[in-house]
Amino acid sequence: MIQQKRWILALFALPTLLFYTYFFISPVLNTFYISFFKWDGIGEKVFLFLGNYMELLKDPIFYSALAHTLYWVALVILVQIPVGFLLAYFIYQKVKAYKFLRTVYFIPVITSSVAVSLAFSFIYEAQFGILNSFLKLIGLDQFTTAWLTDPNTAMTAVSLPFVWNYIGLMMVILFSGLQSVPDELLEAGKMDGVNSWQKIAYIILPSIRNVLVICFVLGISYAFKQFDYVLLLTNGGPVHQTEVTGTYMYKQGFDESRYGYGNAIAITMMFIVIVFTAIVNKVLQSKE
Amino acid sequence: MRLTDRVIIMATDNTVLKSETVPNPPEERKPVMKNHKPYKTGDTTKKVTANILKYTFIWGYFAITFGLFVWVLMTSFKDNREIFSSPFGLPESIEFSNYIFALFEVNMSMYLWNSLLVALATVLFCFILGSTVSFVLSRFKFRGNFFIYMLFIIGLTIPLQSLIFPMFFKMHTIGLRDTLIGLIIVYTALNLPKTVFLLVGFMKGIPKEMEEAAIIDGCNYWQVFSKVIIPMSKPALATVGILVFISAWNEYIFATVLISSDAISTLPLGLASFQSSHLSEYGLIAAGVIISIIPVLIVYMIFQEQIIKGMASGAVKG
Repeated sequence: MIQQKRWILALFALPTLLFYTYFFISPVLNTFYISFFKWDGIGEKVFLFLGNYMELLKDPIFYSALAHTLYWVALVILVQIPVGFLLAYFIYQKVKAYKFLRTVYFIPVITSSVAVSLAFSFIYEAQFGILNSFLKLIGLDQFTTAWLTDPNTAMTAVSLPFVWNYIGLMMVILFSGLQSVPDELLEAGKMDGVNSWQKIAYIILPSIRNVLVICFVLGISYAFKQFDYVLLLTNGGPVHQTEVTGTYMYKQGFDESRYGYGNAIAITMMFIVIVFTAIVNKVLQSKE
Repeated sequence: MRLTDRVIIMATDNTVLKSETVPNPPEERKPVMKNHKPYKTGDTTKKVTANILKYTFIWGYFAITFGLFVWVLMTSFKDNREIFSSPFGLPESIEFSNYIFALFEVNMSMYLWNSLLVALATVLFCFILGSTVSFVLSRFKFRGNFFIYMLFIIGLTIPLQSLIFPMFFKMHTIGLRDTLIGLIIVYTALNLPKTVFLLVGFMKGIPKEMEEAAIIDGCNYWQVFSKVIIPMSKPALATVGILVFISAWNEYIFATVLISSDAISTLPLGLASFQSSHLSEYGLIAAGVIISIIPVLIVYMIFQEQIIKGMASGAVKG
């Protein structure tokens, strides 16, 4: 038996717990706390109770930012996950050079958002960017535009790097799900003569439901927290056309010195992510 | 010595046992879906069309992803005149002048060093703080165990970027804003939930006999931890280390909020400020992008399998 007292174990855990409480738990609670105040970061805090949240409910820019974030959620569900799934599915079928393809598909995931943003700013660049050069090359000069500052195209342009960035991650997660689909099921399907679509819809998708839930939850949380691209490419402009909740929060705090309001946005984001996660779990897992 | 021998024997036994019971790795699985038989005549056109669509899709997506990288690489060897005259063309000559200028005139080498320091220190801190608490949480039953574990799990569900304001003021109050150690502390705190989740999950799977053998040999808690649990957790530590390294290396939002001095900027910060100060020197910016990607690409090439699997498993709750 160990000759030491059990409380020695506390010495192992305590430094981490203190560190984590001070540098993680306390900031989380602080976000809540400050969201009830009007505070410019230096002066006195003025208690508003739910005042910030009331203002948020009537703030048209917040609603448009939220709409843009929800647009990203839709892109995750309609583009990112389906494309990730198809890539995973084809790679699972062991197409030629599948390992090489998987390696390349995953590169965006490990690339920093700043590098990706700069690369995309090159694509959209008005004079030599790939997009405009290509359009000129094939004689469609009338469609060339300054993609990031044209209000009609800015939101789409700023969404592309976000969608592209995580397709590789979705692919990898879905691939690991596909590997766990039991062979017997696929064999049985084959004997029943199902076609490819039936196989995907009735055999594969139901078998990987749990992995799909992970992809949805992850995608939704990324849509809410990943605002690097907007901050770097358009900073929310032109006139809030590309504002997402993240950039709006950031700017309310650091540009407008309205930290109470910024924290209220942060709490609202946390709340929405948690509600969405709960809904996805409920809808996709209830059939078990 | 006796202890280590025994542990090694048990460890090898264990792995042998495991590799025998684990079903064949999927790579070797017989491809069930692939039809090697010659197509029936009626199906031929349909199958061929399906195949064409499939290959167009996977190689088209490949072309977009790989092409973008190659295009930035090409651009990094060109000067502005060449970029404007032939944006898609191969560079006239491979000139490293952009790289040399980026590394030594605009201090990319300094940013590289700062990023390396921050990323490695964050990994080290996460190892120390994460493994000790994971050891206690995974190997011992006590009241409050579940509660403490949940504190870390809750950390996984919070969108971390929503903590920028309190983090900023906390660092400001304790005088660590605009210091590298402050940034390292923040990154460690943000990565701890993931670290603890992955390590506890792994350590729970280490058989009890391992530490019982050590205890019989008269080890104390510290020795059980350092001589049995840590060596056996190497695969999980590797995964955690790589994930934390990449996330610290790439992080931008917290860095831009906390760091304002150029001399201690990390690579993403340097790159972003670089863009605004050398706005129209595209070749130079492209070289900066390539310089920032190369180290993480090397890490990725070496630890590819581990990274891909780790991201997939870390994502399960991360």
